[in-house]
Amino acid sequence: MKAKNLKRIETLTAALLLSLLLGCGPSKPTEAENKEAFAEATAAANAPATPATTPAAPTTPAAAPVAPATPVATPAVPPTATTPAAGMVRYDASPTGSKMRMEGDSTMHKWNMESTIIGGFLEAEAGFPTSSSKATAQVFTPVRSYKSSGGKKMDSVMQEHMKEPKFKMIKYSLIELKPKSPAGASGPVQFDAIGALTILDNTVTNTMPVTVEKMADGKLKVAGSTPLKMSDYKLPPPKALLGTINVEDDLSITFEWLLAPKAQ
Amino acid sequence: MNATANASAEVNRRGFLKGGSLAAMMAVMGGVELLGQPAAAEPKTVKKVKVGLIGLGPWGREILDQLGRLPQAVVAAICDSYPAMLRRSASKAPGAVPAEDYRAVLADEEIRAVIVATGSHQHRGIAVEALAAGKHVYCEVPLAHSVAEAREIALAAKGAVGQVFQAGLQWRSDPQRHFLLPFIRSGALGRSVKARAQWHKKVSWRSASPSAERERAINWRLSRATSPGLVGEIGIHALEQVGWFLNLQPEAVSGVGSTVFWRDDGRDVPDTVEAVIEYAGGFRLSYQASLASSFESEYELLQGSDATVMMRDGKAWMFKEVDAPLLGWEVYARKDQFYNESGIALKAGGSKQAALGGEAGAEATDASVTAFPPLYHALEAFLGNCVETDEAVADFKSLFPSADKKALAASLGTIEFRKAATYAEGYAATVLALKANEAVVQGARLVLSKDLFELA
Repeated sequence: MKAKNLKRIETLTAALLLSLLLGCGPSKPTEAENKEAFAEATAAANAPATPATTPAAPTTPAAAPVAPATPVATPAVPPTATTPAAGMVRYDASPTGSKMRMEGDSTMHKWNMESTIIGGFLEAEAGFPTSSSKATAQVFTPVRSYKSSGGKKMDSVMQEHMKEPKFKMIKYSLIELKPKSPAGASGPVQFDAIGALTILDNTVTNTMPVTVEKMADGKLKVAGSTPLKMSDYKLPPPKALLGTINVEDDLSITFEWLLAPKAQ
Repeated sequence: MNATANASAEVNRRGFLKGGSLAAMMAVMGGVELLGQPAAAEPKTVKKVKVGLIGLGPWGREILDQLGRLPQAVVAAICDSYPAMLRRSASKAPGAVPAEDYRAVLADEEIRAVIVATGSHQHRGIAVEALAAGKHVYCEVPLAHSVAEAREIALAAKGAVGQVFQAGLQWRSDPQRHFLLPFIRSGALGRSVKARAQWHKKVSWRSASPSAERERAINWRLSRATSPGLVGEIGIHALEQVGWFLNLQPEAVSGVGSTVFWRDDGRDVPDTVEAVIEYAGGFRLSYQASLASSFESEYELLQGSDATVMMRDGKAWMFKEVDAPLLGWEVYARKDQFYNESGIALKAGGSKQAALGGEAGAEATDASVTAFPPLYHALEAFLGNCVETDEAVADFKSLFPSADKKALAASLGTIEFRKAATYAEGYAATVLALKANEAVVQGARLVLSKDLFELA
């Protein structure tokens, strides 16, 4: 078997799996009020990006260099009020320090995809996370920011399967945090997070264990890792090469999301 | 960034040898290559980049040829101050807007990337202004005609966060060399003894032109005022390759040169040169170049106490010492005869095990990649990195519109871009090449302090 082709195909199946997995899930419906609020936020996030803009170049460059022409897309941050609700503290996603990783296996070898661009915000009561669990959050992570262990071509293949640029973002809306830490425990606070995950145009709810840690500098670190089974989501197992290559049922999602208090 | 990628980046001699062994065994056993379905893993669409090519001399036209083979490239503008060059290249880029002034290319908002292929003495203004205009820049090497100008370009590139700057060290993108890199760094050659490289062509380097003014301009390589000479213009790739492969810092350079054949055309650039680069531990690179003799053409040798590797014509061979330890796989490997030496072929695509396991050399194991010259791969990497950078910047800014340059740089730093020469590598190579040329012109030995290679 030509090894590199096999590797590509396996990673393709991984990409397929990812798109299927994240696009489907338990049939439990999202609560109406959350769905409505989330729809508003995600509509903006999935809006087509504004074409790259380039400033005018100089006519006399030596004397008057022009401004950089780095393309800027339409901001995909949800149109939620930037000032938090009364009694709530807003934390904005930190531009660095976050990471999302998806891992799986196949009959050939393991695969993974990673992104370090995780945007959004979290609003919580002042005592969060130690003395309060009341919080809401919106999370956005661009599809094309995920880099595959299969290389650059697989990144492109994955993006096509995820229908990027029509659907530019993977989105998550936190519905509820249920405390799990025993009373008096120190360190990161444990919760079960119930939220709505949107891939392509499919939104489903799920529950996953997370920890929230208030850092010394006031930042929040939200972390989680959860094993998943495709079969739990009634997904047809992805196959390649006429069924000779199968993706394993198990995969896992691991993330660390860093947020900083919004500057006043 | 991910485990598999990290594993492939590790230098792993054992993995390399295992791979070679399996490949050799498969060949001996008449193993049949089982092909997958390549089309299944190919993206259906190609993300394109609008490019402006500045400088349409012989090398600029070679770049234009390679861009024509790359589906990612849309040559939107071609530029040369000499209209005849524009007319000559027009058929190769039928959709491109011709321009005699590079400022017109930089002013075109649709053009995201420019390739600077003019004489090296003209690079600074174009490259710095292109970066200031927000363009991605591919700048040929040497980056400039002086260390000060090269530093200015490199610093401008360093400050242009979110823009690609690639130095034209095309060997840095060559899959064949990336295939050799882990093998050489694994210590398979034993103790490094010395290196040798040569470039021999029987050509004048002179071009004819209808006017004296144009002849001076077009023959910029023949005047010391504008030319880095043979060792700077041609030898830069071989000179910097040794430091790259062996992770060595040059400490001194000596040189000699003379005009032995093309004596009567007024040039003051030697047509035959030799330079010796000194590294720590007594290791030396001897480089020779000539426009007066074509004997043995061009090649590079890395000699070790156990084996020597020769790179030539996009291929490589290993010549083992008789007392070197048996590696195993070489018993079955293909061998080619060079006079009274038997060379073991080292070629990208030979290690199936590496590809299967994602180990060292896995990315360079597609045999088809060596069908293209290093320049093709360098331009492919440039265009791919332009697209990926633009996307990453746009994604980042969409979610973090108020983040500063430092945060953007940190975010971009997490991406494993296609293999290509950076501004820092281009600068260091330029310094070495210019100093080597200086040594050749002076017939002197120059000490190369470490801070000479560092950017302020």
